[in-house]
Amino acid sequence: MEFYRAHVLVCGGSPCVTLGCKAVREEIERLVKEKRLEREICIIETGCLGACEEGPIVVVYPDGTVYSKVNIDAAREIVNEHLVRGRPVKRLQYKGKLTSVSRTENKSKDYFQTQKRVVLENVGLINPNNIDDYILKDGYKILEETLDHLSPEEVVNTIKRSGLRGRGGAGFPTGTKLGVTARTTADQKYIVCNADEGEPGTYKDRIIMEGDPHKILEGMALCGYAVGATKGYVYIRGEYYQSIATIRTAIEQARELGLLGTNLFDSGFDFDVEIKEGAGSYVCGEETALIQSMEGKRGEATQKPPYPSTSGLWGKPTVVINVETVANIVPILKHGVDWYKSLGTPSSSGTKIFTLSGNVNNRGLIEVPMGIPLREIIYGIGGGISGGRSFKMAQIGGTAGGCLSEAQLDTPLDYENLQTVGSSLGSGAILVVDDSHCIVDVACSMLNFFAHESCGQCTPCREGTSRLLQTFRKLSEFTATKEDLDLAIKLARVMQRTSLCASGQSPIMPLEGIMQNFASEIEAHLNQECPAGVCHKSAHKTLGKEAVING
Amino acid sequence: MSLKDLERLKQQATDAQKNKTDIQIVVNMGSCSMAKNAGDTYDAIADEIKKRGLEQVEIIKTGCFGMCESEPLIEIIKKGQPKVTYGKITPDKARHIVASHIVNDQVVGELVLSVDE
Repeated sequence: MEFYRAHVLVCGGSPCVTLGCKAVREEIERLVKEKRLEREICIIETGCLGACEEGPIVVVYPDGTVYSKVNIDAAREIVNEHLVRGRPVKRLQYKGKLTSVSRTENKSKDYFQTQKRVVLENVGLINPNNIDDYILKDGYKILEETLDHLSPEEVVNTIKRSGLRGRGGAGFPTGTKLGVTARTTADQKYIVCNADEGEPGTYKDRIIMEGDPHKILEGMALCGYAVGATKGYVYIRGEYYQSIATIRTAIEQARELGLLGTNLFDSGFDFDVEIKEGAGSYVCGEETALIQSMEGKRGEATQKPPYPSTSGLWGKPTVVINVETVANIVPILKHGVDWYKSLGTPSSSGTKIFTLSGNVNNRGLIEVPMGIPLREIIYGIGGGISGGRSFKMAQIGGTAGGCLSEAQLDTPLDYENLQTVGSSLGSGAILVVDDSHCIVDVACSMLNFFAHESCGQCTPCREGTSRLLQTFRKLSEFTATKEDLDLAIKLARVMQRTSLCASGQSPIMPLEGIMQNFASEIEAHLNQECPAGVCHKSAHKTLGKEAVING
Repeated sequence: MSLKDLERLKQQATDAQKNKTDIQIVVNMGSCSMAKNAGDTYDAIADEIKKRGLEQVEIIKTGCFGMCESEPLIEIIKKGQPKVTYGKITPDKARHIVASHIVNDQVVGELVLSVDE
């Protein structure tokens, strides 16, 4: 292979040919040969570069300088100045943007433009398996400063004033949670980081753990200092092999440097972290079930109160905190409450990570300030609906979240506004469904998940989830009646009131949204018709035929 | 560990940063990348770098930064040049990028996701 010092691209698109690009190319070739540079400089004729009005176009690489309206004289100047002396000719440079270049360049720029990366500031930029990279980004400095200058009460108050709310689903104010545990007296307190991310379509915690593990450890140590806990656990679901490995390496490296262990920064404060692997049960993401699982018992929710804040792991006061929430602690203490409150809306401060999945072009993970409209996420950052189809619905917050129709696309995404449209921020999953899917089929898929993941402890949930699934399967086989549906909704309401944990309480949320927003489509199924053409008679003779859109 | 130790560590890391090689290839290796065979891409790059004897090139593993749709993602950072991000890089494309971008300074336009100034 020949090694060229520079490449000169001369536009050879048909409009430019008429403008004389051939003569320009021949002139450049002749001059390069004359100066005996033909082994150093490669001249290539390209297709249209998209700025035909400005032709002929000449582009010089490696620096990517674009020259427009190049005539023979200009070509001579470019060769003499740019190629021989290495000085680009500013006067002749093209000021606009080439369409073909901008097409390839802008994809990820659009993706990042509206984003505000606070929790994810280091993710994808540092090597997660090397603590030096984190220290270089001022890692563990906040921990040192806090231990040195702030009292535990001040830390709790800072978090309270910041307005940080739990990012795992329930949205409980984190400062209040820390405050309760801090006020409770006990010989031992615990910090448990909830990394049992089981909500279908959610993968934010995994990305944080795999990309910036030390931020979680530092945040946990800060929480420990605030409430007086000396022991932390990260409860990671067992399927997250890479997260477990990354966190494990991070803990080892932090211990080695004395950033975890006893007497941190000579302040007399001890804090150490251990990993507990979960077995991948959905209900173990609920804090009391998670604690049961950690104690070696069957993962089932327990009666609240007592709340874990006062009596949690092994009966001791425990702060159960989500990965994303704990990753917010360091930025809040670093940049201050005012800065944090300036992000997002007055009632929901800070940023939120959303995981986009389903029928959008740019599926992936985004971090945006609270209160951004759903439309902007789907059509802006998400790049619109894939395959040129049109939007049908979006489910926010995972399977337990509400289903929004096109009319609700302008809903700002924060805790309050989502509640008014019968949804919740939940874990931040956004599942986009296009018009090729049938709403009844989507409902079957959700209900199948609930029926599968019900732990079986409470009768309303154990029986109810199966009955709901049965009714909607009947609907998709065109054998259900109006009465069946009314009964199903009544049943889901009973479940909401009588189930112990969120798993049984939440099926009503997506179902109500579906019944309200897609009433005509449900109606059609009662009349033996599926507008999307997905449902057929006796389609569900065998189990598990629902659209595989979850996860 | 004291504040002094931490500052010293930071200084060390900063120095190490300065002494970094002129060319870095950053490969995203989160679970989503791994699911799309980023491991093979990484191996292909490492192999190509070794075969060509490009000692000045450093390969860095990092986590996913959110564009899961376009995994496996790689970034090429050359001193004095904008950072170039490539998406959906199979082992073959990775070898092509090493030959074209690393060796010959030719950005492979059709695979580029973004160019950061």
